[in-house]
Amino acid sequence: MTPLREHRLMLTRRQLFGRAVNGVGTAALASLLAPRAFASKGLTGFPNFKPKAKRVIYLHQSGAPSQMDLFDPKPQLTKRFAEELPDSIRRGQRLTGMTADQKKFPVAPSKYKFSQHGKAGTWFSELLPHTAGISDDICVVKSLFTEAINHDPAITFIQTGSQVAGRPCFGSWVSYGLGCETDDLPAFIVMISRGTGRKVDQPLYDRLWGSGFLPSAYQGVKFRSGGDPVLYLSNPAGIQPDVKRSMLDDIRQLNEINLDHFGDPEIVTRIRQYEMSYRMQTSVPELTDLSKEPASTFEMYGPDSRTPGTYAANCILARRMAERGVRFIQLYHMGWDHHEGVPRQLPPQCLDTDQPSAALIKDLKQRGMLDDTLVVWGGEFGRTVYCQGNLSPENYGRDHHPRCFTVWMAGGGVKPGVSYGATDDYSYNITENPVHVHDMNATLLHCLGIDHTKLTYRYQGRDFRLTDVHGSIVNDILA
Amino acid sequence: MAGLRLDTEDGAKKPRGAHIPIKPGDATASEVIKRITAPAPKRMPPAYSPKKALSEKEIAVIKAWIEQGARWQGHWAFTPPRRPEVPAVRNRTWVRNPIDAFVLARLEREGLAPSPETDRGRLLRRVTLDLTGLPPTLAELDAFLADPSPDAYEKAVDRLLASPRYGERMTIDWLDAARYADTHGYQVDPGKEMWPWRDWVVSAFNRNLPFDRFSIEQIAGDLLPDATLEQKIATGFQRNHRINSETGALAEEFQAENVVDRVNTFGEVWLGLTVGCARCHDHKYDPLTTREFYSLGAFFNNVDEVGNGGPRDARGNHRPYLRLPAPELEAKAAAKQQEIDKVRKTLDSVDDRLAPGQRQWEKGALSYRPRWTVLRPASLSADGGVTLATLKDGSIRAGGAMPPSSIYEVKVKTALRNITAFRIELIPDPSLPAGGSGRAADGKGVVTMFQVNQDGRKVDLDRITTDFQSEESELGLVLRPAEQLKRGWGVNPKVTSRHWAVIEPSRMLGGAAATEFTIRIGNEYEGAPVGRFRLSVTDSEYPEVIPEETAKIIRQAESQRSEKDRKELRAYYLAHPREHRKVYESVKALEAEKRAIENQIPTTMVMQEMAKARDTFVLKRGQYDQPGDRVTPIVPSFLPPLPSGAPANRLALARWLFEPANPLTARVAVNRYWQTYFGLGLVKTAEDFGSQGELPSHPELLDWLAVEFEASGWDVKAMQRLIVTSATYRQSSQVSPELRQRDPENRLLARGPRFRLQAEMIRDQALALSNLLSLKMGGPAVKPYQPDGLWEQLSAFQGRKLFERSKGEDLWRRSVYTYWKRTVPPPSMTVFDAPTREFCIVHRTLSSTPLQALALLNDEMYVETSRKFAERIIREGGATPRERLRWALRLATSRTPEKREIDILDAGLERRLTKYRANPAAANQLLSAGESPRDKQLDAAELAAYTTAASVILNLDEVITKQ
Repeated sequence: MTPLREHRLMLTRRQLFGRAVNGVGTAALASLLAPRAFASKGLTGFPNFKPKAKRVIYLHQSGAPSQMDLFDPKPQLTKRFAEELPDSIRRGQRLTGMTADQKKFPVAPSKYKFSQHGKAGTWFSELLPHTAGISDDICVVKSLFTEAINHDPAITFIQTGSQVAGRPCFGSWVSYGLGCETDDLPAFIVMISRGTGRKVDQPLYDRLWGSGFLPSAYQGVKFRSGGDPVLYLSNPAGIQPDVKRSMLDDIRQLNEINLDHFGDPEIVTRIRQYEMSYRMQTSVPELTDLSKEPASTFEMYGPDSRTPGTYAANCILARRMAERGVRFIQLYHMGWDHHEGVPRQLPPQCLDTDQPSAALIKDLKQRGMLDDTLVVWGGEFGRTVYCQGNLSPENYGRDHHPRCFTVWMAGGGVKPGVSYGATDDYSYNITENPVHVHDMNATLLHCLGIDHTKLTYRYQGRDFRLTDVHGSIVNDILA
Repeated sequence: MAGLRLDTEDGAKKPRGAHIPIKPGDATASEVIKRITAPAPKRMPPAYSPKKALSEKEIAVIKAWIEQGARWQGHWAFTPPRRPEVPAVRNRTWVRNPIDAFVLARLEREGLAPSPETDRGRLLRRVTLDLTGLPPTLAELDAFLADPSPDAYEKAVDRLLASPRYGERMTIDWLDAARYADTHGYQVDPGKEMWPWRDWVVSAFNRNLPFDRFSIEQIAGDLLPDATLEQKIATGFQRNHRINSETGALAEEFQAENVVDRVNTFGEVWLGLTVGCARCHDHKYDPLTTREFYSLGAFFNNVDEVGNGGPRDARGNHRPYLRLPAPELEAKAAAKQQEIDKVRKTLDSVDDRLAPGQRQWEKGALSYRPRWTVLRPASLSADGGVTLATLKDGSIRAGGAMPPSSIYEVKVKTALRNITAFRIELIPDPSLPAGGSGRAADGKGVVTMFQVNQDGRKVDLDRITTDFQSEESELGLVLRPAEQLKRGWGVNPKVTSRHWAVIEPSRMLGGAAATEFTIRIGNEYEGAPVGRFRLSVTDSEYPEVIPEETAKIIRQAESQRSEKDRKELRAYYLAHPREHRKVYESVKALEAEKRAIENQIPTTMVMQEMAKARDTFVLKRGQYDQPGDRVTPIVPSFLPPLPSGAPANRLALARWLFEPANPLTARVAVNRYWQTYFGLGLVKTAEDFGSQGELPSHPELLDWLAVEFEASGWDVKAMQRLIVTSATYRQSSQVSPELRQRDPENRLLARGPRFRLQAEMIRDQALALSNLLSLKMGGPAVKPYQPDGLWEQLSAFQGRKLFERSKGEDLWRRSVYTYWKRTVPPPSMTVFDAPTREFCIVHRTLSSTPLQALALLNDEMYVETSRKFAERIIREGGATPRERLRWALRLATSRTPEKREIDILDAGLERRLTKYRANPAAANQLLSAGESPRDKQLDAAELAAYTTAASVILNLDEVITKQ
C-alpha cells in the first residue's frame, strides 16, 4: 500500500471511530483499529482488571471420564461389590434412558489402585502416573456438577453455558472480549483427536466451537491433521506461490480502485483479509510443522506425539500456538464414554492423554509460560458408581452422572497443588464445596481478568453472557 | 420503595405515602427524578449495582417527558398499524412511490439529501441479485441498457419476479427461519428427507401464494377443510426442528424441547417476538408470561410423535410422515408382490412335500455333523510384509513382518455346489509365540474381518457362530467391520486349543464346475494377527451346531411339546433342506427388490393431530420433569384474543395471525422483506419487536407498508416490487465520508444498500458466470465439492455416513439444493456466515475473515469455476486480451470497466502467462481441478493464465458485494 493510500485509510478509520457502531461491520471496524483479521483487539475496558492468564488451553475429554476410576477413590466400596446402590444415595434422582429401566443398580467398585501425591496429598489412580507427577502444579476439583445428563446437552452446556444450541462457546466469548494477540493466526483454534479406548464414540459438532449470535469472526477455526490444517489453506495444484502473489496484487489494486469510489471501510477490511490469508499460508504450516522440534519434545510428550492428529501431537501444537499468541486453544479428545467394559476402554484413553497432558504442563512451566496460560482438563459430566450392564470385579460399565465429576486446572491464576471438594462414599453426591459449571466458567474468566457479569452481548433484546444469570467465583482455588 | 413498579402507569403515578414516583407535569416533584439526580450514595442506580448509570441526556429526556405530562402509551408494536398519511416533501420529483415520501421526509428533517440513482448497469445487477440470487447475463444487461422506455426498469423487475429463480432465492431466507436441514441434528445427526417441503416453499414463492395462505398452510395446512396433499406437505415447517435420538435421551425431555423449539420459531417468524425468555420464569419487562409461553406450546404439543424420535423410515424420517404418491414405483412394487405371492405358493408345496421327513430327521438331528471340505489355497497374499505359507493339512501359517494391520487374501477353487457354510479354524502351532494360534506374544490372534468375494462381488454373509470366543470379542464386527472399531473373533485365553467359527452366507453358493472364491481375513487388532488357520466349506444342509432352544424341543417327547414348540421345530426343519432354500432364496431376493422399490418412495414429515390431545403443563424453571399447572391453547393476553367460535387449535392460531386486529404479523413480515434489500430492517432487531427490541427507524413507513401488504391481499411479489422500484432502493451506494460518519449503518437511507452477498449467492454467481450452473429444480439434496474427511472427523453412530460427492450436473446445482448436515454444515457456506440451521435465524450476521479469501481462492469449486469462466472469456470475450478482460469484468460487475482496471488485469495476465508458458506442467495441474471437462482446443498455458485472471475477478470485493 502506498503511504498516501495508507494515510487515506487512516482518515477513514478516524472518521469511523468518531461514532459507536453496532451490528453489521462492527468486527470489521474493530479490525481497522488494529489490523487483526480474526477477532480484533477485544472490547474496550477488557480485561476488566489485571489478568493472571492471557490465554487458555482447554483439554476437553469428550464422552466423560470416570471420576471414581481416576481421581475420586472410594476404597471402602470394594466391600460393597454388587450391593444395591442405597436409595439414601440415589434419592430418586433422574437417570438416563440407558439405565432408567435397569432393575438393579449394583455398586461397581473401581478395580484401580490409588495413591496420594504432592504436597496436598492429591489422589490419583494408577492409570494416571504422569498426571500424578504434576500434582503440585495443578488444582484438582472433585466437586464439579452439571445439569444435563446426556452428551449433547451437557457438552453444549459446559462449553456455552446453555443446554440449548445457539449460544457462543467459551472460546468465542474470550476472543470476543479479549481479542487476538497475533496478526498471523486465528485467536481461537480447535483441534480434535479420536481416542483409542473407544474408537467409535460420541461425535462432535461444529456448533461446539461456533460463535452463536456473536459475529462469526469469533468462531473457532478447526485445525485438521489430514489434508490442509485449515480448510482451503494450500494453493490449488498449479498455482505456485509467485502466481498467487501476483493474483493477490491484482486483487488488491482493483479493490483499491473500488475503495476510491465507494469509500466503504468493509473494502479496507477485505484487502487486509486477503493479505492475512497469504500470511496464514506461511504461518500455519510453520506452526504445524513439528520437524524442528527437538527429540526431547517427543520424548516428553510420549510416543504418540510423532503421529499427527493424536492427542499428544495436538498438545505439542497447543504449546506452539500458545507461544505464537493464540488466545484460546481448544482440544477435544474423544472416546471417554464407557458404558461397558471400563477396564477395557479406560486404560487406552489414559495412555492417550496422561503423559501428553502432564508434558504440556511441564513444558509450559519450563518455558515460563505456565504463569500466564490457563490449562483446563475435564469432561462434560461424570460416571455412575452403579454398573451399567454386566458386572464382575474385572469388568463393569458406567452410565452418565451429572451430580459430580472431576476437572483439573493449572496455570495463570489457579492455586497449584490443591485438591478441592469432596463427594459421598459412593462418589454420587457432593458433600463439600460444590462447584457448578457456571461457577467454574466464572472462575476461569476471572483468571483472564474478566468479570463474568460484564462480558455480555445484546441479542434478542437481552444481554447474554457465558454464565447466564449465575456463576460465583470459587476464590478458594485462586492463587 | 419496595414493591414500586414503574412499568405500569398505575404503579408510577399513584402516590406512595408522602411521595409520588412520577407526577405528570412536574418533574421536580417526582420522586423518581429526585432519586436519579441525587448525589451519591443516594443516587439511583447505586454505584455498586451492575445496572448502567443514567447519562445526563437520558435524565433530561425523562424530565422533559414528565414535564410534558408523562403520557403513558402501550408498546408501539402491540397496537395495530393504521395507514399513516403519506408525508409531504419538498423534493417531490424524487418520489417514485410512497416509500420514498416517508424516507425523504425524514431526510429533509435531518437536513440530508438522497443520493443520486445508481448507474443503470449496477442497478440491474443489484436487483437481479436481490430477486433471483444470480447476476444478470450480458444479454439481459444489454437489452436493459438499450431499452429507452421510461418503465424499462419496472419491466426488468417484472421479468425477474416471474423467473423460477426468484422462488429459489426467496427460499434461502425462509430455510434459515424454518431451520431446514437434511439431517436431524444433535449429536447423532442422522439423515432425513424434507425436500418435498422445501420444494413446496420454492413453488409457493414462484406461484406467489399470498402470505396469509403461505403461513396458514405451513402452520396448520393439515387442519384445513379437505386439506390437499400440498397443504399437508406444507406443515413440515414445524417438523424441521432438530430431533435428539441420542441413546440416553429421554422421550419426555425432548418432547418438551421439540415443543419449545416450535413455539420459539413461531414467535420469532410470525410475531417477531423472542418468546423463549419466558420459558423459565416471568420477566418484568417482557409482556409474555411463562404461563402464556406454555399455553402457546399447547397448540404445538398434540403431534403424534416420539420425543426422542423413535423409529425412522427408509428416508430417515420420524413419524408422523406422509408417503408421497409415486404411481410408477407403487405399480412396480405391486407387480413384485404378485411375483412374491406366486413363489410363496411354490414354497408351500415344497414344504408340504418335505413335511413327512421331519420325524426321520429328528432322530439324527442331535448327532448330525456337516461334511467339511478343506479349501486348499490356490494363491496366497498379504499386505504389510506378512508372509503366508500352506501346510500339509491345508492350513495356512503367517510369518514375516508384524504390521499394525494386514489383510490375508486366500484364493480358492472348489467344485462343491450348494455351499451352505464356510468355516475358519484357528489352529495352535508350536512354532508360534506361546504355542498359540495367533502371533501376539501371548499367542493371541484376532480375526477382525471375514469377507468372501465371488467373481469380484462381495458375498452377503448372514451369521457367524463359534465354539468359543474371548470375552472382548465382537462377533458382529467380523462380518460387518466398523471403520474405527477394530475388534472381532479371538479365542484368548484358550489360544493353545483348536477352535472354529462357522459363517453362513445368506444364500447357497457354488454351482459352476469350479467356483472361485477370494477370502479376505482381516488382522487389524493391533499386535494380534492370526497365526495359523484353515478354511473349509460344506454343502450339508444343517449347520454345525443346532441352536440350544431347538435341541431342547427335539429332546422332548412329541406329546409334551407345546403348539409353539411344534411350530418352531417345524420351521427349523423346513428352513434347511436344499429344495426349500432354493425357493426361499428367490422369495427373499424378490422381497428385497420390492423393499428397494418402496424405499425410493419419498416421504416427508408433517404435523398431524392426535385424536386425544396430549396434556400440556407449565414447566417450572423450564424443566421437563417439573410440571406445574395444566394449560390449554391460549394466545398471549397482550395480543387480541383468538376469534371466538373456532376450536382453539393450530388452525385458529394461524388464522388469528391474519386478523386485522393482529398488530404484529404484517409489520414483522414487511420488516424482513426490507432487511432482504437494505441489510437491516426498519426495526433492526428483526427477531424482536418486543419492548427490549429496537424502535423502528421509520415507524410510519413500517406501518404504511404493513397496511399496504394486508390491503394487497398479502401479495408477496407486489411487496417486493414496491420496495425495489422505489427511488430509495435505486440510490447509489457511493457515500461521502461525512455521510458515512453521520450514518454508518445507513439507517436514514440517504444512500443505496451495499453489503457482501450471502453465501449461496457467491457460489451461484460463480457457477453462473462460468456457465456451469444447472437450473434443475427440486428433489433430493445434492452434495457438491467439499474437502475430504470433514464428516468423518466428527461424526459417529447412525450419523456416521461418509460424505459421497454428487456427480455431474448435481455438482453445479443452485446452493438452495445443497445437502445441509447440521453438525458439519457445508464449509463453503458457513465460511460466508450461513447458519448451521439448528434453530431459527431471521437475520444472518456478516463477517469478513481470511478464511473467506482462502475459500474463494483455493476451494476446488472456485478453481473449477475460474477455469470454466476463463474458457468463456477466451471464446466469447473478443480477440485481444484487453477486449476479453474488459468483457469478463463487465460480465461480473454489469458496469463499464475503467482503463486502469484493464491495465492491471492485462499486466497480471501477461505476467502469469509467461510463467505458465515456462511451466506447462503447472498449467495442466491447474486445469485439472473439478469434474467438468476442459476445453482441449484451448492452449493450456493461455487457459491457465486466464483461469488466474478469472479467479482474480471472482475474488474482487465488488464482485462478491451487492453495491
